[in-house]
Amino acid sequence: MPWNGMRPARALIAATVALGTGLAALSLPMAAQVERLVAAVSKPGTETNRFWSGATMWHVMDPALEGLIEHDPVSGEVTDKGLAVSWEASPDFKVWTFKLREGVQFHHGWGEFTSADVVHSYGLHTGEDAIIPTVDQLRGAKAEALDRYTVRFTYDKPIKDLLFLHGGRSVMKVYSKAQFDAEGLEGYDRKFAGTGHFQFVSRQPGQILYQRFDSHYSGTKSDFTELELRFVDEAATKLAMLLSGEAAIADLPRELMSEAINAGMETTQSARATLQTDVVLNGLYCETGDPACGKDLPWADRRIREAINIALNRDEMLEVLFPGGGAELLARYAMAPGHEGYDPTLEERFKTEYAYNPERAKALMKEAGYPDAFPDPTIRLVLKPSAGVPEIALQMELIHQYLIAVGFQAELREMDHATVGAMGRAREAYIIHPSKNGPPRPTEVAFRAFYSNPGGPYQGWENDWTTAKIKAFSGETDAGKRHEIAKEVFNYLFEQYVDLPMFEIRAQLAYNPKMVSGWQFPGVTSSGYGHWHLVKAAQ
Amino acid sequence: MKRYLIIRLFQSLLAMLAISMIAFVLSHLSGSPVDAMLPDDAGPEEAERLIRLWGLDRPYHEQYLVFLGNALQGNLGDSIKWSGQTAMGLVLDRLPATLQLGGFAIIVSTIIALPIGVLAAVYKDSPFDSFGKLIALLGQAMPNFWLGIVLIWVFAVTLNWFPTSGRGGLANMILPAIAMGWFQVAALMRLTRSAMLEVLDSEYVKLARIKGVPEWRVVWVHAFRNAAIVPLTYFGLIAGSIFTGSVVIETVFAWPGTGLLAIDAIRGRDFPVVQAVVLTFAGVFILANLIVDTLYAYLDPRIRYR
Amino acid sequence: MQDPSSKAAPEAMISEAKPSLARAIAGLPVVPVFILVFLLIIPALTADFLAPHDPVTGSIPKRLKPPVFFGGTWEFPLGTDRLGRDILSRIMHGAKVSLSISLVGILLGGVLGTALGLIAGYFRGLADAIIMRLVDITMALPSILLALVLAVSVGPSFQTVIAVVAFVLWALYARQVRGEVLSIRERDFVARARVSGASHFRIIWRHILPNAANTIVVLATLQVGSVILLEAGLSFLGVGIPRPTPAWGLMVADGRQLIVSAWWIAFFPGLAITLTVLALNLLGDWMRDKLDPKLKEL
Repeated sequence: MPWNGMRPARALIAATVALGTGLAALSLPMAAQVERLVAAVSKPGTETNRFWSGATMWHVMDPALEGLIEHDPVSGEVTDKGLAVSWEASPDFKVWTFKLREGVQFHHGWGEFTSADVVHSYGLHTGEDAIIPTVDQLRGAKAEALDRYTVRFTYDKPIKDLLFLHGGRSVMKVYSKAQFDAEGLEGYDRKFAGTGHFQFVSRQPGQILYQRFDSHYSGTKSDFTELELRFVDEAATKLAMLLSGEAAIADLPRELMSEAINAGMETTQSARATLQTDVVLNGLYCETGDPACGKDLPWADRRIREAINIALNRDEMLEVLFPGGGAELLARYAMAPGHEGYDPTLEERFKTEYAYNPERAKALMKEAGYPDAFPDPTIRLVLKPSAGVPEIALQMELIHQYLIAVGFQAELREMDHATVGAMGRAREAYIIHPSKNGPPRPTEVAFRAFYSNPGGPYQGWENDWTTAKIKAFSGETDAGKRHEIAKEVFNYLFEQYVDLPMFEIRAQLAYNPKMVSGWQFPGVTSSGYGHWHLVKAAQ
Repeated sequence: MKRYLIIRLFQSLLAMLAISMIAFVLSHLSGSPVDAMLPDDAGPEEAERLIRLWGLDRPYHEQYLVFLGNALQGNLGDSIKWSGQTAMGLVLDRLPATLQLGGFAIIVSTIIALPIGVLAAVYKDSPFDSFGKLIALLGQAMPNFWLGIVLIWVFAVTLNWFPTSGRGGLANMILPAIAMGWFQVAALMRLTRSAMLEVLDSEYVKLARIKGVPEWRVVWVHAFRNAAIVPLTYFGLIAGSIFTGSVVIETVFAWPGTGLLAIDAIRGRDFPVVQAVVLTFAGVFILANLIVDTLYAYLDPRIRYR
Repeated sequence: MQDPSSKAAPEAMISEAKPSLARAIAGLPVVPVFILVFLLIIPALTADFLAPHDPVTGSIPKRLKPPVFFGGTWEFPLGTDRLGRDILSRIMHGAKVSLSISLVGILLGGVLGTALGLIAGYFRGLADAIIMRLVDITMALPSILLALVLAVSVGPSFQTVIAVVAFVLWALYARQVRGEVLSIRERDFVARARVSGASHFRIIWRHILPNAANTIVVLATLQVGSVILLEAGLSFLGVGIPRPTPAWGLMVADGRQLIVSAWWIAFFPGLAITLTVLALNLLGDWMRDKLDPKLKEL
């Protein structure tokens, strides 16, 4: 056990922190603590310092660890202000070269950041135990340090979305090779060094403490000298922490935002949408000859798929689920502007062809012979709790209500994420379940994971036409042709009503204006929020 | 006495072995960590790789024997979810928090229950008796998470007397300890009350009264000292319910203990950690009962021959 | 061999030692019974005809309406929840759910536990040793973790909750009944029955079980309350009765976050739970005092 050596020190720090916070909370809960920023945030999927083998922990590692590509906090666009100052891809998107910033210092005195650290970090993030999203796309490159500040990735397949992986998704963080060579992974576990605006101080079960890193290359400094993130899952408790002044910031669910505002709190949201909440009509593994095809499922019939779609009053859902705004209707997966195959006409058509129309839904059901023509007419909706996004479960309850209203025999079933995943992996997911797509995946990833065989476990749709098209798309290197194929696929999926498109939402947080005056962040990575150094202190 | 202890110890070990098997079977029945940990967009090759990495491709009996062999050496394996940490290390890191809160909850419930129990016995069938009973029973009639949230809103947000949540000093423990311990008050109070009634009726208490010992001394010294042994039997059972309560209360109060760890481990299908938590809970429970039984057997020789 | 008085002895002894159930019912405490009848039993029986609205389907425009004396209308006397469902109707139907979980769970756990307790206490020896070790193991297993594991492996459902309830309860019954049987089997009338050649089954069924009945009844009464609370705890962890079934614990768990703005969602089912469990415990207490003063620990 690598922990034994440092236990006394850790315990001491822990006791000091605990005593400090305990006393502070007891004596002057409302006093403006400009020194330390305390935030109540959703529990990360894993509490570990090894970013590459943890789950959903961007928001708690973000203060210290940076990826290669930085985003602008206001526009949300990619900028050259991060660790990489310029980059270029070969015409076939197989070779990517990044020019790195000079003079970047690692925390805790581990020296200057160079291309060797990038190569080392790439190795960590594509190793045996890497479970970060899109890891199978990140893999497979030869990473080379061309000189001290130039690094090159050579893939044997075109990889158009590498910038998204490093930026929007931020799946690879930069760790120090010097520290690894001196201390190994145990060194990371104890006190890892990154390049972010805050450096790691200590971690205890349920919380993590950072300290401002004054030699950050950007020259900008946080208003706060310390940052303490406390992991709280119970939303009512998070709100209580905010209102009692124990926490200055809390990532509350949407339905508690108005309570926070009523109590004098203010809210902030990401510049970009960070999450899609679409619902998957799963089980249609219907390439010719595939025995797994759920051909008797009601939603194997296009008319039923359309009926389900137009039975939903999406405007009403939007109001119920996201009363504080920060969410919009979205026509389809991966259909954000800027992604390959984006077709603005679909956005227009969506407004009429997917519009709420219960009468037409009933007519379509009748035409399809529902329920008598189906061996099992039950519409199985899965209520899957999503960590940090309670709206996704409520969304399924609403869908259940709408489907019952037009006469579907709809049934809600509660399952957790892993159960749905197991069914999907066994290709037996004959269910309708939510998917948490955050941030919107690039077209190639979405095609591979959601619409082709063998995709990820949370896909719903396969048939000969789609598979052939997607194969052609993946092999194509000409950008114009790729766009055309992708557009054709999206139009087809749209007309087939293969899924239930829902909303794209922005990350929202509430803060106490007595301590914090504002926070503008771009909205990248799966957790949606970060850039903690941009939190502005109240005067 | 020695023989009794040896038998009990042997039985406990046997129970732990059975529990290890149950923990193993149950956790493996619950699915695969691959499905919990695999990114949404990862293909089958990634799943295959993780299955190999975590040794899930080996037959179950082989996995169990490896687990058992390691467990006998005190090694319950590496956590799957908390990369870089051992299962037992994780549990031991968080166990003090749970024991601290649980212990404090027991103290709180004892502090409330014993006086009420004694006074209810002394003033039997008076309004105080019924009122005490009502207070005690109320704790048994509310869902504990609900009680916890209400306590936070009243005492932390509105009155600002205590911190809302988190682990820290004594002030942080009061609300969760009440939410956790109130449930036990009824049973403890009832035990104390009936034990007191019995003792107050005994010969030597009557004798003490005849000898002119003041009434408060009769109650609090002579009677109470003898009655206090009875609730002891109950502490073995409390140990179990503290763990059950910790799972819920730790979530509400963001108390970073084993209960919270258990939920995460089960949701993440982190078999080694699930097994470590179950074995630890069961071990502490069995140990607590062993101690209670031993103490009791020591105090009351008839038990040994039961 | 047998004198006439010995035949009547068992029955006589029962009524002498403990008041009969029938006589006990005559002196039931009024308030708890009143609460139980009006909060649990009548709603459970009449929910299907009397509940003003459907408990499962709501009306989204009518969501989050406050109760009648807090700005609401008589259409929804106790207000509506997030999906616009009537809280009153859900509480009434919830009584049915709570009652059936308690009854089925306790019946299953009670029958199994009683049977094993009878066997262990009556036959002693190996059977006793095995059963009691099983009891130890069951009690040492943290029930809530078991419920979590069960729920994630087969999905939360009515049956899962029942299984957890039965699993938690059987060991309690087995232990209590065994203890009871140990003392009953030493009594004269059992010895006489054995001498007169009665089969084991007959002795257990005719002589031992009736004498242990009081313990079983008191246990069952006291446990309805804890089963209702267990359901609530499981719902809080997301492994209780699945949505959209109206169950009290689930309703409290679902409404707990809106404790300030829409307090009625969690408050009324919470009140129903508290009053019901309180009444059950008072009733159980009273029954224990009357029927079986030995059951102190529960």
